[in-house]
Amino acid sequence: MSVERILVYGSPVQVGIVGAYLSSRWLGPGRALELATTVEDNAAGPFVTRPSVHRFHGEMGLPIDQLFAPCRGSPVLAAAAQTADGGSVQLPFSAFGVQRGGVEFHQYWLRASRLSEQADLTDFSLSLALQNAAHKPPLAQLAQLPVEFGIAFDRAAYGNALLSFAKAGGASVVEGVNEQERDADLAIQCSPDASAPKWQGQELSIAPESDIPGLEWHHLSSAARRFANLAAPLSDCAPEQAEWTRLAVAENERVADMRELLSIDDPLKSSRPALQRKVEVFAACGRIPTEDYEVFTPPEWLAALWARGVSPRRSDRMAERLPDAQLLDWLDQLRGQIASLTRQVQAA
Amino acid sequence: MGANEGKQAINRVVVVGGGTAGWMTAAGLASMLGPTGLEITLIESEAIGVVGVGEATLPHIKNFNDTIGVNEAEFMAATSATFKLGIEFVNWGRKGDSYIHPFGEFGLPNAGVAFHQYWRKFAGQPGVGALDEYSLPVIASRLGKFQPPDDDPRSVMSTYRYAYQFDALQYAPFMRSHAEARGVTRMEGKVVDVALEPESGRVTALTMDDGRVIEGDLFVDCTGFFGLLIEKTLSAGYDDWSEWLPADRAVAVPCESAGPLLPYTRATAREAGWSWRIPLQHRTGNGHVYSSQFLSDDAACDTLLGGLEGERLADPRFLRFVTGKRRKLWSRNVVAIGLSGGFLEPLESTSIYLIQEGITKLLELFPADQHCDVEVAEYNRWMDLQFERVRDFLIMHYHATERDDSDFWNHMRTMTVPDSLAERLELFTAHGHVSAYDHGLFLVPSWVAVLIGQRVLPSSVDARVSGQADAEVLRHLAGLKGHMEKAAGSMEDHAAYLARNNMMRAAA
Repeated sequence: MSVERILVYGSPVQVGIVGAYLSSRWLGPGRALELATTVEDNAAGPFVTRPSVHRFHGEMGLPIDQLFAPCRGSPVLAAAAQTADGGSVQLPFSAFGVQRGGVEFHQYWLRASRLSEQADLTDFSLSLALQNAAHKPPLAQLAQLPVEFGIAFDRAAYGNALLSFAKAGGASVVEGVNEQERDADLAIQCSPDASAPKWQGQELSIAPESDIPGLEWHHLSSAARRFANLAAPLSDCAPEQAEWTRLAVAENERVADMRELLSIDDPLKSSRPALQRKVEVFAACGRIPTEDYEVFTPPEWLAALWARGVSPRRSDRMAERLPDAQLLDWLDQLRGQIASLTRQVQAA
Repeated sequence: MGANEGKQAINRVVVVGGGTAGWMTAAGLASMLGPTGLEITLIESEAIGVVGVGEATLPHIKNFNDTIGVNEAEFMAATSATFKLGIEFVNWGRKGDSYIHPFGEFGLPNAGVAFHQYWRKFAGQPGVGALDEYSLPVIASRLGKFQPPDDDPRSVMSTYRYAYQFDALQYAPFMRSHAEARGVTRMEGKVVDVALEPESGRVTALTMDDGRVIEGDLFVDCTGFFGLLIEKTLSAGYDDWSEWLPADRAVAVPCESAGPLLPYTRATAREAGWSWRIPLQHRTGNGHVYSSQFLSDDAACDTLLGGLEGERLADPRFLRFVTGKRRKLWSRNVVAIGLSGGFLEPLESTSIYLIQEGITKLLELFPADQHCDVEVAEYNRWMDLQFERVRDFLIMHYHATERDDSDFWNHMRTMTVPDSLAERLELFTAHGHVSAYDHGLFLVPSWVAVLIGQRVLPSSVDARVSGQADAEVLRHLAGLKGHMEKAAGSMEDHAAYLARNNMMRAAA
């Protein structure tokens, strides 16, 4: 019986993420998985994951709570990104306020702002309130709250834990890689050397980007999941290669939209069609049109648009169904609830 | 143009045309925007017949009804409705074939591998059966059973959704009463003239046959194929898709009900098209969609009448159409919803879904004033995407076939399909993987249902399936099938459920 051999190479945390998933979701009879750490993790600071980390680890059978303490985990409720003017913006993983009657909260806030002065929109985000609090609530408590969260891990500890998990699942782990080892049925390159993600022939390049916290983890985990979900004999997988590349490139386009929104001097002058549409529709009516294969959630887009000075000319007409007094009371109550909840969490 | 003129506020909506699209639009706008002071007028003429589009629906209609506050039992009784768990396709892959495209999942995934991959490996072995034997709504459909799904995601009873089959000629009046109760003004009469603002080309007023002039800020064209405003007035243009979907005629006739009240629609492939059978409380709706290139009207009518299960209740009615959509469903200040916006044959019951999608998107983007080019562009982009993705799914039904018994089927089987569909088929036939998208009506289980139902079997399966012991997988398949059969068997008889929940229409 011939054995299909995959070699995954890159830094320990990169190889760990891809290798752990493939050891759990791809490795089996007639398959071999070799993980080679070829470069060091030089990046400073914690390694941030996005909220889908819970599902990712659940699918692998390696629950987050097992890694949380050993990898010095800390909840992340919003990612901080740099903007063109040298400032930064927090992109919350969960919605601002509460949706009501099928209309997003910020539409009500826009309307209320026309009636009277309101606290900033960001003050209505429980995610941001908790992210900016002095102490993060424990995982068990966070799971009870209406917020999505990722985890920031110590990069080296997280990488080592994942490599150990992969090893326990049957993968072999080596340091460095020679030319012979590169001659696997498939070599998965995790480092950001390639300009774009691509699976062609015996090479699959993930090309992870890391300029926004959580993005590197997203690219790696999503590449591994997608590969496993398109499992096919490595000698006969041309349609799967095309599909993997199509999806990865489409996702990268959405990331490029966000990058441009954060970095361009005038967001209204973007030449990227999907971003242009987001900016124009948001400026016109406060809606944020989405595309297939978005990476960032609507609250993240909202925060980014808002931070870049794009504001809607009007609110959604459906938000006008709520009488003025009721609207203002509701906003007051919401803000109070967020403050109170944050205090309770801090006190616990 | 002056600034005020260019930014004229939108406070008056005029819906032209009653029928399903018109009254759904009026009811939706009145429920969601009536409280904001929006005035809604609907013009219709009793002298103009309605097409009565779409007696069969998709599960999304329940969201629409719930959102605008429709009581389900009242709605069911008022429209002689039955529940619907899927669509049975007969004779599509080959003559004699039958499968049901259910509103639900097939089996359960295992270790990240879709259920159909395991089924594929063992398909044809004794006791394994067809894929749809692992779908609870399919088993319930064949047993004539119904029960609303369970909210508990751990229960097999949560693995499906349901839609309705109703009398479209009763649905429009039901929506009318709902809309009028929420402030919609109905005006009886025909539109004989349309006034346009000279500079902008926007519609400003409609003149009725009795001389009344109805002014409006935004107009919704629900005049059916005629397209009074969107085409006859604004010449929005039409994308003709008959290259891929050549059926251009339909003939419809109701008959008396025969046999038990089944919770599914049937679509039977014919010599040059297909026929529908929709069981309602008081009658059965029947129709035959066909291509006039390949079949005469008389032959189509004979086929339809020859297949009726009960006594005919009316004379056959013929319809002509061109499959496709308006180039701009929203042009200037006119939005086309329903048949005025486009037509895709009702093979997958998508007509009312597309109406609903048009209303929902209009509500989401409802403009404050006439300065709304951005909203218009976004509306058109979104609706184009919806139409195109439904189109591809419909084409697949005709293209993914082994039938070679008529010129029509030979043409459909061998034609060149859109690239988006060709790539999807190539991926599936390789190892059973389905290309998914985020924005589109039909999700992975639907593609799997139709592809496998029409004998498009992957040449191989997901490589991970081989990692499981055969005996273990076969035991799992048998257990799952038994579990679903038991669950379906415990459901209530469909007709009995309707009666017990006061959903039957009172006898006239």
